[in-house]
Amino acid sequence: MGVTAADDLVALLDELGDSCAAAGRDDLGLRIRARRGLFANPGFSVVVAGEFKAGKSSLVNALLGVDVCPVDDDVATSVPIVVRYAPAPTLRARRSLDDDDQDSVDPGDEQGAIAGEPVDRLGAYATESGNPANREGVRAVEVGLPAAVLAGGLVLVDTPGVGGLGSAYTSATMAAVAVAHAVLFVSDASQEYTAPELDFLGAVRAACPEVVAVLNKIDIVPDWKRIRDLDDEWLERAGVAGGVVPTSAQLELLGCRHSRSDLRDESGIAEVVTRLDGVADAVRRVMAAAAVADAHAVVAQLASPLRAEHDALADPAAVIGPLEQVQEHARGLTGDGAEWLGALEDGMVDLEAELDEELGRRLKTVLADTERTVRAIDPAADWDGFEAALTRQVSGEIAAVSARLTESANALATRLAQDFAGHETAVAAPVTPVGELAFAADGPLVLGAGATPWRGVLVDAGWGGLEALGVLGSILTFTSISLFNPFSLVIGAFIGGKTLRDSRRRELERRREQAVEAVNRYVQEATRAADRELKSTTRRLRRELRTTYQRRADALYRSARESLAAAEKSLGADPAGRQARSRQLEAQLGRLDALDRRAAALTAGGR
Amino acid sequence: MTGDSGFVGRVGAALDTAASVYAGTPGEAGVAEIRARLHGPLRVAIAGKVKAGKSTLLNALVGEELAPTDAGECTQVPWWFHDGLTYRATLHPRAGPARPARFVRVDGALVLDLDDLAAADLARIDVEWPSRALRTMTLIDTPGIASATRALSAAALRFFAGDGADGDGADGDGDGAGGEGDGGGRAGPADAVLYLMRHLHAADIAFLESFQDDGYADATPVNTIAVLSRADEIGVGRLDAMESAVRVADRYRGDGRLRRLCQTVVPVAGLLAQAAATLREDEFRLLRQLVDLPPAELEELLLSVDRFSVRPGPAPPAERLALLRRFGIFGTRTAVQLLREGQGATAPALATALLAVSRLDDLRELLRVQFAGRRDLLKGRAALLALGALVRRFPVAGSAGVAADVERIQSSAHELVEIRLLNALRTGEVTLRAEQEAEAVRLLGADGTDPRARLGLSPAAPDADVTAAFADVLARWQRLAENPIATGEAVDAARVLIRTCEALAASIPTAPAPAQPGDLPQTGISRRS
Repeated sequence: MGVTAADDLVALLDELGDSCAAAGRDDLGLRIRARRGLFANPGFSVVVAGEFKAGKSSLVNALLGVDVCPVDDDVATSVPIVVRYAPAPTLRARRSLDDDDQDSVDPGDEQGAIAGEPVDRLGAYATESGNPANREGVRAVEVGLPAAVLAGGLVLVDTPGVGGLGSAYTSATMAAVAVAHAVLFVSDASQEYTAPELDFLGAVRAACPEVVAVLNKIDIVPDWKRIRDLDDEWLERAGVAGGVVPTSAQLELLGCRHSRSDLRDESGIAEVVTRLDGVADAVRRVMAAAAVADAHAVVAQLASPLRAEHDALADPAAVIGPLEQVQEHARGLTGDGAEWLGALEDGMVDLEAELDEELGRRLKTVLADTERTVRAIDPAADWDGFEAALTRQVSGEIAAVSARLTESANALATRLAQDFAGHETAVAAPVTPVGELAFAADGPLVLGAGATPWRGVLVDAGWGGLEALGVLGSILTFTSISLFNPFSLVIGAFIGGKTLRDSRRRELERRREQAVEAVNRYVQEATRAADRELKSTTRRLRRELRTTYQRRADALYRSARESLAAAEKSLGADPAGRQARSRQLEAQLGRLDALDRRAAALTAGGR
Repeated sequence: MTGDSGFVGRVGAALDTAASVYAGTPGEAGVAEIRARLHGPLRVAIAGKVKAGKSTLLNALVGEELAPTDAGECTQVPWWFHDGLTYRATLHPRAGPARPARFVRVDGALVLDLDDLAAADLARIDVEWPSRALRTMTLIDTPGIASATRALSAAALRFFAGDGADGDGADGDGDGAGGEGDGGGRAGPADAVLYLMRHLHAADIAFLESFQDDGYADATPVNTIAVLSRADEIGVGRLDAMESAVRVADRYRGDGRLRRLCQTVVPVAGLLAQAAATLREDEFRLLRQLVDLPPAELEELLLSVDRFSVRPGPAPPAERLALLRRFGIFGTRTAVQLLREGQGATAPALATALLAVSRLDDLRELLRVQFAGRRDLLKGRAALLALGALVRRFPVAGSAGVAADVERIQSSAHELVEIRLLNALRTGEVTLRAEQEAEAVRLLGADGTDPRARLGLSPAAPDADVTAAFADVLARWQRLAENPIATGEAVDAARVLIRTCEALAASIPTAPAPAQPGDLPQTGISRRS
């Protein structure tokens, strides 16, 4: 989407906001303002994932053009780092998220932000050495930076590497991947993809279809082109399009530091940005289409009382009857008894039940497998490897359930949006006849047949699911990232002291029993924790959807009431003034019609 | 090394008996093989994930670019390199008799003509190569594990399961019962294992665990050394990369899980070591030419591999790329730096300086202390395991007597008891208080089998100090052995250590066993220009 078109859309939304204010319709104005905010900052999240020590943090730094994420030969990133745009540097350590959406923010962090050098303390939260075994209990660190690359709404999420010894890392990464718009899959140029890397790529691809593969550190590997070709073959087999992008974060950062464009040209980072732009563009299209749809709906509601009055001036009888029916319809959308609300509540209950069932089923399978394994090994000898495998497996299953949550919730939100679009059309008919709004099939901003694929789900362009509502960005992304994070449970904690290790061979059976029991309790705890987090997410989601659509229903009811009132008012109008009034209303309707057409033109890209 | 010869002597005697018992039976060849192994050089397997730099490190240790290395995965079959009188390669197919193979050398590396055989048909490739470096140690280059090509990983596991060692006699039945008392399992083809890794990846731990738990390669914490083999990449090729690598290795050494799996962790810049060990005059000349460039220009060249091989500079780009492939960006930067500092007046001088940077010498020293120092013990132990398995596989008249011999030696040799205790302490099967454990591990020879090393004394300490130190240590362990509230396992451990102290103390006046300088492979500079 071109800058001009985006600017035009923002200008249009601003004008429409003014019209709402002039008409005394703050409720509609609120909707337009919220939409404008979302459109201007859509929050396009890109998760940087890969094996540990592949150079993920330096890649993030290279994209930002400045050293932000701690990079060290030894110490690794241990907590997800979320980097987004801010006019001045800020740092927040997210510890927990309670139901009220209040993060517990370390007051020191805020002061640090004011002091202006907050990112210096990033390492204290987000690295294994600064925050060993995550004693700080941090679930994610959020960094705000005035970096140009972030200005368009890009949110970069640096994740702990996969494959290191801390198995909890994988779950945080998978949770982040499950709600990302795109994933940068980073590997090191010194060797082709290994089996664990390909396994991880498969998991990532399943959780987020938009994968951009990056081959980092090409500045130190003489034969990187050969590795690139080998990796391209693997990517093709894995169904990842576009091939790998060779980069050198090192050269990019050197280039930024010394203002050397030749080094930056050689770094390959620009190509990564281009690829991300491609994905971001699809997201922006969804947001643009949603903004235009909102504009149409709001214009229609602003126009509705004007048209009612105008038409009633000519033939009151033909107008008032139908308007009374419309008002009844709109009244039916408000209040606790509304049908759509019941459908939402039912959908949410079904969703919870579905997730519950899925979580239980998956973890039961894990448990059964694990018990079999325990019976075949000596827990004293094989414990560490076993424990790591189990935690990995459990977090993998939880990530899968969380991906399912995203998908089902999205479907639910889409149904609701479509339902409401019908109500809006019924209550306040579009100003411009629908036929004239047909999206030009080949315009630059066109969204297929009104829908765009997003994460493998078809998102309806105008009404969009969660994405168009901006709900994913605000709720799912950051709860999930942080909440499935350090699964602070350690299986060993369920076993008294070092019993497992100290025991002798002849006590093998007793040891196995203990191990099975520990595993059982671990899986139970994990299930409980995951269940709690899933429930809290669905609760937030329900509240968000409910609030959004209750506001819309109230606005719609008000539009209907005002239309009826306007029609009734015209009954007593002075016959002499009728013609003048009628012309006046036509002029107002004409201005709204112009706004509507501008919105339509934007969507069709017909400029 | 006290008593090693006695132990090996007893193993040798048992093998002599076995030889006469099995003469003319199917087990004969197996016994002969075990005897040959007992008296042959130590077999060191170089293991690790794909692209951990196994072939490269092997070349560095041999001092010749023998094993093929390239950017893809290349070693698909175990290659055995041993000393001999002639240059010869032999193919050992899985089925059918061994046959000689024609070979040529391309840039030094051996390229074999496999005839009609596919790599997958081969159990192993034997290379006889007259080399001083191989005289004390047979080196085995193994296929990589966790490779994307899963068949290749399977080949690696087969090797460590003993499948690749068909000549090794009777270890194929896999019942492994003889290993129970030794904490080791059956005899694998290698006496000791160098485990190479780039970082400590979960797959590395899994592999080390699996081959120890299953007794593959007879690997135990005592005969395994972990090597950070592409250490220069940890510091992404910066000049101070090796310092970072040393730091990382220190941290890994303290990792509880790794401690249970290997003796220690050391960093080596394998590629640089290989290049230094085989530095050629033409490469030396090119490096000198580079240093003659204006500093700013040279710096631009060294910023990235692409710049180095593409930008205008001395020598044709292809030649510079070749240099880069051999040295890596870290090696090239380091060589340039050394030359600038005047540390490489001649090719041999530069080679020596580069070897020091690569830390290959540290690994050699470790091999000398850890493996060569207890070579006879490790070999004798492997021979006993192999013989035990052979006897179970081929029961004949008189084999019961051989089995009894094996049993007796296994249960009585104090050297084996020591190894077992050391392994038990490493794996946590036996636990002591931290300071006790540190002392016990040292006494058992973890830092070297020399009496002074066992006591933590300097190599120059006078005999009197050594004797006094032993008396002191002995008294401590005796107190523990008699402590009524000590745990059973602590008392058992103390008894073992008391015997160790007594035996060592008895050896002091006569045998302080200095290091044998000729014990380990040395590296020459080969010039081909």
